[in-house]
Amino acid sequence: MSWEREPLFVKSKLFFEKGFDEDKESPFFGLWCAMGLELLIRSAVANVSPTLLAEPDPLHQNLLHALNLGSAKSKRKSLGTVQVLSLCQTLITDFTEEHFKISSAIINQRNEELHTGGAAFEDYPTSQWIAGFYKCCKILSEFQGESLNSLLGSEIEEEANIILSEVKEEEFGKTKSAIAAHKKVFENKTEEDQENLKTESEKNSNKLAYRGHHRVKCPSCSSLATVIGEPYGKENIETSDGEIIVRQSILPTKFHCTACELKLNGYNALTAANLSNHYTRRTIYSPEDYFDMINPDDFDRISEKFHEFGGYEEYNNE
Amino acid sequence: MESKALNQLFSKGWAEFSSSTDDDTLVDLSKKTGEIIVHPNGNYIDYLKPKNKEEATKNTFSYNFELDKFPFHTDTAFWELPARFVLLSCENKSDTGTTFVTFNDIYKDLTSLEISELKKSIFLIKTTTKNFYTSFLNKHLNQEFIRFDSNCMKPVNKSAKTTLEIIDEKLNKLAINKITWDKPKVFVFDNWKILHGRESVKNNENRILKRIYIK
Repeated sequence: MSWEREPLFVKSKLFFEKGFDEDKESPFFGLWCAMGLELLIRSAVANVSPTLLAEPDPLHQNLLHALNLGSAKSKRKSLGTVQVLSLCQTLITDFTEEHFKISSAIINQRNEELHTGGAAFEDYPTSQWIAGFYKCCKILSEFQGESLNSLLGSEIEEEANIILSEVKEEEFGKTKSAIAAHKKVFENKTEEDQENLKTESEKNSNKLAYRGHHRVKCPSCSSLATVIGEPYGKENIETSDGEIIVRQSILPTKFHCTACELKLNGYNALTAANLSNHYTRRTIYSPEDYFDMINPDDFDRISEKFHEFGGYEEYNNE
Repeated sequence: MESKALNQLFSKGWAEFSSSTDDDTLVDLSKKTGEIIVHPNGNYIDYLKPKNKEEATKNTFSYNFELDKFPFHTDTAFWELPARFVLLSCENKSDTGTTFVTFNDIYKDLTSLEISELKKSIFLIKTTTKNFYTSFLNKHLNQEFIRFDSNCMKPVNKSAKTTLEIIDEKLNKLAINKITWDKPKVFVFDNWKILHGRESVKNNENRILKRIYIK
């Protein structure tokens, strides 16, 4: 058992890596992230001194272990997570009451996930905690001379920066007003027009679902609408009977409802409208398409490829 | 230690210079470099002799490689914080050299993609007494250091497996530096920046290497 900063930080990286291998809406994504966050919190405290992670005891047995002077007969006991979080608040200026609450909420879900038969993260969608999670990760990493990049890698750092960069308050107000305005216009239409628009919107959304869009309920008129966004993280590739399935996490950034014409742009606008839940785009390819293979009997395709490479050039020995 | 050699140690990561090899001189030189890490047996100096499997402790380099060459590694890689400096000296003349490469030389040959793999690598260190996670590139009090020992570091993610391939490829390509123990001398190196090894033992000789860990 190690209370040193570096092994704790590296282990949190490992747990985050496991998490980001999962689909973002999967409960396992939340669980791995929560466990990684707990280790990150501990590594931040160990950066001040590993002795702070020892549970106080009258004989200082745990403290002696932290100083590598412990007896093999006594088992070492770590400080409870709530106390470690309190220490973060004391030691890290940027780690405020708000970050304490965010971290506690995520870690509490982890407890429920591990201590009960329920699927805690199933009822705690990623969009509800991901922004706060990235903020805590940034503060805790930077405090120990690391960064979001060294913790999560450049691709995820980019995604985190999109989520963290937008001005929340303004966006929330603007989005709520837009939803209310479109709702009012829609409700002023006749019932028949409303029904027709809803039916058309549903058809359109079903069509778009085959082109990478994700179907959601419009917060303004309750019709079936779609969101689309930016892919992030690595692609998960599976093979099954004669097909290749590529799964890619998407950070939703655009919403459009054709029934009431509500359009929203940006992750925070979608968060304000409760539409920012990350989703996974699943694309099925045939092996020929995926590897860009050419059927030897397909002369059109061969000819196309031939011209793509500039056709036949006469031999020239100069 | 001569100030020139000490300067070279801090700038290049290693220094080799003629010196008396008696224990007191070596301890004195080490104290000028930093603080000596006392061996668990209470001594400052380890006396290392080439060993066969029967004589060696399980899972040590001598157990795994016997008199063959030792691959490049970080000394004390299995410590949570490896020793910063290692001072070596040979009590007698020896034909078996100590080999080393600097991480600077490896780094010069790395692409940005390879550096990213090294940073993302995660290994599990497993010894008889403890286990913990680590990476090839690490940080201690804002100082970066390398940790590499294929003997005790097992890759746990894809980047770690790629790191082993990258390092193996670079080590096969790079010119290897060698310390020859042909006269009384000292070789001191920054264990956080240098990987070292040993040539295969020549003529079954009686080589006694003295080693001091310094922090």
